[in-house]
Formats: sequence, structure tokens, C-alpha cells
Amino acid sequence: MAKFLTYSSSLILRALAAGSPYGFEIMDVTGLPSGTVYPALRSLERKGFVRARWESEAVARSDSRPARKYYELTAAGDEELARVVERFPGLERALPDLSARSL
Amino acid sequence: MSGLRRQDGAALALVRASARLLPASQRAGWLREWTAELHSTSSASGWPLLRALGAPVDAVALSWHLRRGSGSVIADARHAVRSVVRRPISSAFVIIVLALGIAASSAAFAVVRGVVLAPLPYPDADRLVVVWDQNRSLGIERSGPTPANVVDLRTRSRAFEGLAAWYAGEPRTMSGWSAGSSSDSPEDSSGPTKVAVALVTADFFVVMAEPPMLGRAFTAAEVAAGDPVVVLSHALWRGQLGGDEAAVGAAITVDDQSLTIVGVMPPSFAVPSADTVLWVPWDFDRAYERLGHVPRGYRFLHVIARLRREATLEAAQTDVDRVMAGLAAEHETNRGWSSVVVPYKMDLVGDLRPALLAVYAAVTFVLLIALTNAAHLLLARGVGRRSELAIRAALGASRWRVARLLWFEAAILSIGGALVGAALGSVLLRAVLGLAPRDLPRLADVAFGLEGVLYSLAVGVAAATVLGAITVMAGVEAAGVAPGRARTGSGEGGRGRLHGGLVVGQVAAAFTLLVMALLVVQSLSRLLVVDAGFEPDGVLVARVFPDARKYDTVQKRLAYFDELRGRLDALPNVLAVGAASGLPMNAYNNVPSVPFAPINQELVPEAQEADVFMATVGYPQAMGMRLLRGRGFDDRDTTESTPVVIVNETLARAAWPAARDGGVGEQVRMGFGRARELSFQVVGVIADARSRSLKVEPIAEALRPHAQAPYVTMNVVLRTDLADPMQLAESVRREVLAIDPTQPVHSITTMSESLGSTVAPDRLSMWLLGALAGLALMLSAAGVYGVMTYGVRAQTHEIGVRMALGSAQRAVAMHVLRRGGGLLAMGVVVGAGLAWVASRAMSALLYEVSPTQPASYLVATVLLSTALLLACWLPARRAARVDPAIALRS
Repeated sequence: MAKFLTYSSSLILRALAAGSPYGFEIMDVTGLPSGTVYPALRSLERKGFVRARWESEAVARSDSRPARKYYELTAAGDEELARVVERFPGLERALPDLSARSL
Repeated sequence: MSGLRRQDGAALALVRASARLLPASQRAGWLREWTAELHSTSSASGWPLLRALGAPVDAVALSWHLRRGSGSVIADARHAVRSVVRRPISSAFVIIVLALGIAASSAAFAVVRGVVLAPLPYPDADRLVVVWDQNRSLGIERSGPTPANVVDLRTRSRAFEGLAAWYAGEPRTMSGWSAGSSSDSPEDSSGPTKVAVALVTADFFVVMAEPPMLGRAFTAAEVAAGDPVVVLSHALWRGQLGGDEAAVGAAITVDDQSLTIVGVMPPSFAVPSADTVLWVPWDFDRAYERLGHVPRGYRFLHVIARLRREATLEAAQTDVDRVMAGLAAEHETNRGWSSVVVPYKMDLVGDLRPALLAVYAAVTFVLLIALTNAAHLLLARGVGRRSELAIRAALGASRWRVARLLWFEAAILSIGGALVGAALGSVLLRAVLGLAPRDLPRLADVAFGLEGVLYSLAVGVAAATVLGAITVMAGVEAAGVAPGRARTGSGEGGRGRLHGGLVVGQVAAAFTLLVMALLVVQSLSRLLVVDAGFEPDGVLVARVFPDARKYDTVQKRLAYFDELRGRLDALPNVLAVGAASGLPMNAYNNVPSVPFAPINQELVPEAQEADVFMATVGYPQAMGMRLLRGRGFDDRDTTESTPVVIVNETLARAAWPAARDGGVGEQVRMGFGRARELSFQVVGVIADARSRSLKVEPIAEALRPHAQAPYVTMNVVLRTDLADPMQLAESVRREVLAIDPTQPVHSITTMSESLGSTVAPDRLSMWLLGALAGLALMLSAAGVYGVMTYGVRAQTHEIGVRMALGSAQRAVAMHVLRRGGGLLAMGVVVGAGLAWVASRAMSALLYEVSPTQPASYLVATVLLSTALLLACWLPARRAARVDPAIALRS
């Protein structure tokens, strides 16, 4: 069977689920350095737990900044998050619940 | 904030630089993501540069993953290692076969490098040349220049920085040394020993440009003044003088003369030879003072010169030709003589060079055969992998990836073979050096060393390239076949042709080697049965050189040798005793070449010359020379009686061509130096002897009785019935010291040994070429056996069909044999062509054997056919026993 995710990867999954869709915001909420976050994101993408999409140019332009790459959980990612939460019980409380804010 | 903006710039630069780590296809997207992220950071909060530090980490991780994912080099290499390890036996075979070839090749390379390629261990050694005199009309290829010629060459030639001469005179008696220049308390009391001395002209050490390790060389002033100075060899200094640095300035006693040691040479200095221990200054004007002039007729010197920096060898030759032409016009004795300039290194290793190059060529053939065998093995291994490769191809592996994988395997095996080969090669080299005769030149300079290892690796890389190419050709073809068909595919087709081509090449190489070896064997066997004109077996030779100043009168000398002969004759097991001033095959010959003519003709200098030996009563018997007519020397020949000579047949025929069996009773005149013409009565004629070398036709020779020409430097010859003449050595030493305790024997050897050392290079090349040809025969038989077995296995199905359709066992066996025979025949034809070229190149090695002599080709064909047909017969028999029922089911 697939190996368990590392704590960092699990934390990133959790951050994505909590509504932090791009790299630097994930770094901000998890406190992980960029050298950890990006490789972990790519690895999660290869494993099929997350997928990436480019933000629409129109939105970016209206914010007068370049388009970002957004990551989101796949169905498999959701399942995997449930598994890792069992494994790392502290995970649920490790992040402030941001979903409310983003609403 | 300007601080923040500066950070932005730096962060962006770092991200851009990191992007370069990625494959081009990924770069744009990756860069876009990172710049977008950086943008939001700078506009919000935080430290963009700190965050950008993750970019290189991300880029490295991503690119590593991408490469691995698409089948990286590392993954293929890992796979290749696995597939080598998974077939341990066939891998080991490939490595061993390659190692054998590489070992032989690297050992031969070490010898060629040390002897032929490496420069001599002297400063700017490639500018050192030797000069020999030559007289084409007399058939003399090489003769030492005369002292006057040396003086003339030195003053008239323009190509040389310096030109020196040496003469390895008779060994001298060294009887001790004392510290301090005038102390008379000898510290060494080990008794007198005979040592090898070189008389050298003042500029000898200047030409060699090798400074003494201790002290200094002698000066031109010392040489001209005749000061009693000497330079020692490292060996003598370490041995007899205990390596004492105070030796410089001390005195040694040589032939009762006290010489002051001015310098000690380094251990690598070996000119004229490795056993030279003393260099004594030599000034022609002083040496020939009594004569009144420097002589122009005595040809005995060795000349060594240093070319000017800008002078080429050709320019030096032209320059010397000009000088010699001038001398020939001025002096009658120079007429017909020219000089040849030879690089010193070539002069030292000249005789060995063709043999070494032949061995090197032979070794290369063995390497090629080994390589072919390795290719057979790899191809045969490929049979089991056809389906694996085909599946890989079907799964989308490109041809390039399949090729890379096969190439990696070939490389691993080849480099493995090279490493094992280097280890084996150094062992082999030590064994060959142990077998080689000690007096072959420059063997001390031969070592395996780092160069041997690098050479092995270079051959390994070449092998990897070739083997890789061959397996790739076969493998990529297999990968193109559909997986289902690959399993039952017939062994014929492209791969069969590849195997066939390799077999033909292998047979050709083995054939060439066999012919080379057979030619050398024949050459040596002819050389060994050549009638030398004397009987070398059972002859002991003791060199006795009593000091000429102590034995300064005719009476003293005759008395000395009479007593010696009497004492030695009385020893048990001694059949005959004699002595001569020179011996066949001897380095210490003291034998003048003089013009001769019948008494009724004028003496024409250098028209015809004879070597004149001074010989005592009993010498021809002791040496086993055959007296054809007349008598030997006896008591009738004294200082007072008529001067007599014994001549050899060549001289008799040259002087009296009309008379058959002539000579005895005739008068012959001979010229000993200018205006010293003597006439002799011929009392006997002896059979011709090959005195210079077994390979050189006999020349005119004459023996003068020692009683009428009492030379002091003599070689005492004893014929014994003992199996090993050396058993007499101790008794001989004792008897010699019993006559005069201050005059020891210089050295004792046997005639067979001196004869053996003259054919040593021939013998060595015969053994080496023979061994290599044997190895080649074995390897190619193994290769052919492997290929035919593989062919039969691959065709089992087809054979089964044939037999099911009614083919007889015999016919099946014949089918296999026919294929083997066809390849063999083609190999022999190609090999004959190769051998023809190779054997002509080695004609310098051959004695009285034509390089294109058909017998060798015939014998090689028979040997090779027997071995190879046997190698085909076993698989043919296996094919005949194929059970069609089983074969068809498979």
C-alpha cells in the first residue's frame, strides 16, 4: 500500500482543505519554508491528491498582479486527508480555521 | 520602500537562476508560478528573498524527479548492473576472456614502453647519438671509428654540441681504497677484484650532461695533464666503499696505480654498460705519444655525441657524410669508409626492437580474438533476452534507450575485464621479466606502473565501444521484433551473419599468429643447428687479464700462461686447455682486423681483412675447432722460429682461389698498422667458425701462436667431460691465484652460455609468440565452439522440422559442419592475406626463413582446421541427436 504522507505534506493537505490555495499563503499559515512547501505540493500532485490550475488572467489583472497557480484537493486528496488526520490527531487543531474567513 | 524593492530584485534573480536547472519544457510554467508568488509577497508582507531561497530546492527536486521519471541514465545504469549480476557465469566468462586479452596486451605494452618508447634516463636523451663507421664494399655494417677520425669529426662537424669517445678496455684489478688523498693505510682488505672500466675522453660527461651525484666529473685540464683521477659508479661506491661520502677525494688503487676519486655517478647512469664501475680519463695525444700521432687505422672506438638543439638527425648525417668524404679524399685509410649516425636509444635496443614489435602485434591479435569471443558471449546472452528487449520496445522504450542499456552492460563488463586484466597483466609482466635473459638492454626500465593500468582502462573503453556497438546492432534489431515472435525466432538472419563475420575475423587473426609463430620457430631451429665451427658444449671460459705492467716481458708472459696451462691441464676431468685473445661471441675480444694477401701480391689496405686471434697450443682442441689440413701449434713455434699462422677456410679460399684444399705451406702477408707488414707461413687450415654471431656468415680468420705474439689479455678455455663445466670454476680460480695472488680471474662462464645469450632475443620471441599463438588457437576454438553450439541451439526447432521431414542424422550433422567449414575456409583465406603482410614486416627477425614460405602457411592451416573442425564437430553431433518430437514441441 501507499506509504503514509509526511507530517509536512499532511499539514499542507490540511492547509489546502482549510482554504489556502497557493504556495506563499500555505507557507504563511503552516510556517513551513518554501523549500519544503513547493516540492511537497508537486509530490502531492504526482500522487493525485491535489490538482493545480491557473487563476484566470482577468481576475489577476483586476488585482493588478500576475496570475497565480492554485492548488486544490482531489477526491483522493480528501480521503487521504481523513487518513492522515487519524494518524496525526493534532492536525485538526494545528491551523486556524480559515474557511470562515474566505467566505 | 527601496530596501524591499532591492530584495525583490534579488529574489527574482535567484528564482530565474534556479529555473535554469529545469528542463526547458518545464521552465516557463515554473517561473510563472514563482514570480506570481513573489509578487504577492512583496506587495503584502514578509521577506521575499527568504522565501525565494526555496526556489533552487524546488527546482533541483523537480528536475531530479523528471529525469528519473523519464528513464534516467542512473536508472538504466542500475538496470545494467542488475542484468550483469543476474547472469554471473556468462558475465564472469566475458570478464575473464577480456581480462586475458587485456593482460597480455598491457604487459606487452609495458615492455614496449620501457624499452622502445621511454626516453633514456639522461637529460635531453633524444639528442644523444652514436656514430659508427661503415664500409659497404667490405660488407662491414658497423665498425668502431678510429681515434684520428674522432678528432677530425669533433673539429670538422658542425651538427654536434659535443662528441666523445669511450673504450671499454680490459677489466682492471682494483685492490683497495684509502681515505685521504695520500694516506697509505688501506681500509679495505677484501682482496683484489677485477672491475669493468671505461676509458672516456674529456668531454664524455659533458656530452652525457649527467652530473655526478657526488663530487664532480673530471675537467679537460685534468685529462690533458694526465692526472690520476677517476669517477665511480653508484654500485661500486655503495658496495665496496660502503656509500661513504668521504670517498670523494679518497684514492683507490687500480692496477697498482693510485687514482683520486673526484665523483660518483647516480645509480641510473649505465654508459657504456650497467656493469661499468670506473670511468678513467683518456687523452689521445698522451695515449699515442709513443706512436707520434693519433692512429687512423685502429677501428675500435665507441662514439657518442650530442646533437645541437636545432640539428636534426638527417642534418647530422649529411654533416658527417661531408666530413667523411673529405677524410676519404685526404687519407688512404679512410677510402671506402663512411659513418652512420644512429640515435643512442636505437643503438641500445636496435636488436630487440623488431622482436618486441612482433610480440606487440601478436598480442594485439590475441586481444582481438578475445574481444571477438566476448562479443560471441554477449550475443549468445542476447538470445535469452530477445523477448525482454522486445517487450521493452513494445512498452514504449525508444531504440535509443534499448541501445543505451546494452551499451551500459558492455561497458560494465569491459571495464571489469580491464581491471582484472591490469592485475593479471602486472603478474604476467613479472613472469616474463623473470624468464627474459638478464643482458637484454633496458629491461631494468620496464615496469607496469600507472601507465599500464591506464593503458588497460583505455583498452577497456575501446572494448566497451566495440562490444557495445555489436550488441546494440543485434539488440536493437531484436527490439524491433514483436514480443510473440521473438521467442521462437530462428538464429539465422542478421545475427547469424554477425556471428559468422566475427568467426571469420577470429580465425583470420589466429591464422596470422600461427604463421608468425611457426616462422620464428623455424628461424630459431635453423639458427640452433647452424654449424658454428666449434663445439660449445662442455667448455668453460675463464677470463684472465694479468697486469701488463707487471708482466712486461715476453718471457714473463709466456711463463705465466705456460704455468697456467700446465696447472689447469692437471685438473681432473679436463680434456684440453688453451687460451686465445678473443673468443667467438665474446664482448672482450682483443682481435685486430688486418689486411692480408698472398705473398706474391701487394697488400691493399682494407681490400680484404682477416680477424687475427692470438692462440696458445691446445686452443683449437679445447674449443672444438676442426683442423682440416696441416698441423696445430706446438713447441716448434717460438719467438725465434719462422712466424706461422693457422688460417680458416674462408681466408684460404680468398687468398688462393685456384687451389682446392690449398693453404698449407703457402706464405701470407698481413699488415699490422702502418708500415708494419709481416709475412707468415701457413701451417694449418681450420674449418670456418661463426665468431661474430650465429647469424653472420664466417669471415676470414687467422690464428697466430701466442708464443710469437704474447698478448697478456687472454681467455682461457677448458674442455671437460663434466656435464656442467661450471663445476670446475672454483678449481680454476684457485689455480690462477696460486700462480699470482695479486691477479685474480676476471670472470668465469661457459661457452654454451655466451652462445645462448646471442640467441636469447630469438629464443624469447619464439617462446612469447609460441605461447600467444597457442592462446589464440585455444581462444578461437572456444569461440567457434560457442558460436556453433549457439547456432545449433537457436536452430533446434528448424532441425526438428528437417528431421521430421525425413532428413538423416548424418545430413543434419553435415549441415552444421558445412557452415563451420565455410567460415573456417573464409577465415583462412583472410588470415593468409594478413599473415602475408605481417610476416613480411617481421622479416628482420627471421634467419634464413622466407617470410612467405609456404610450409608455415600449410602447417597453420592444418593446425587451425583440426582444432576448429573439432570445435564444430561436437555441436554437429548434438544437432544430429535432436529428437524431432521434442524439438517441434519446444
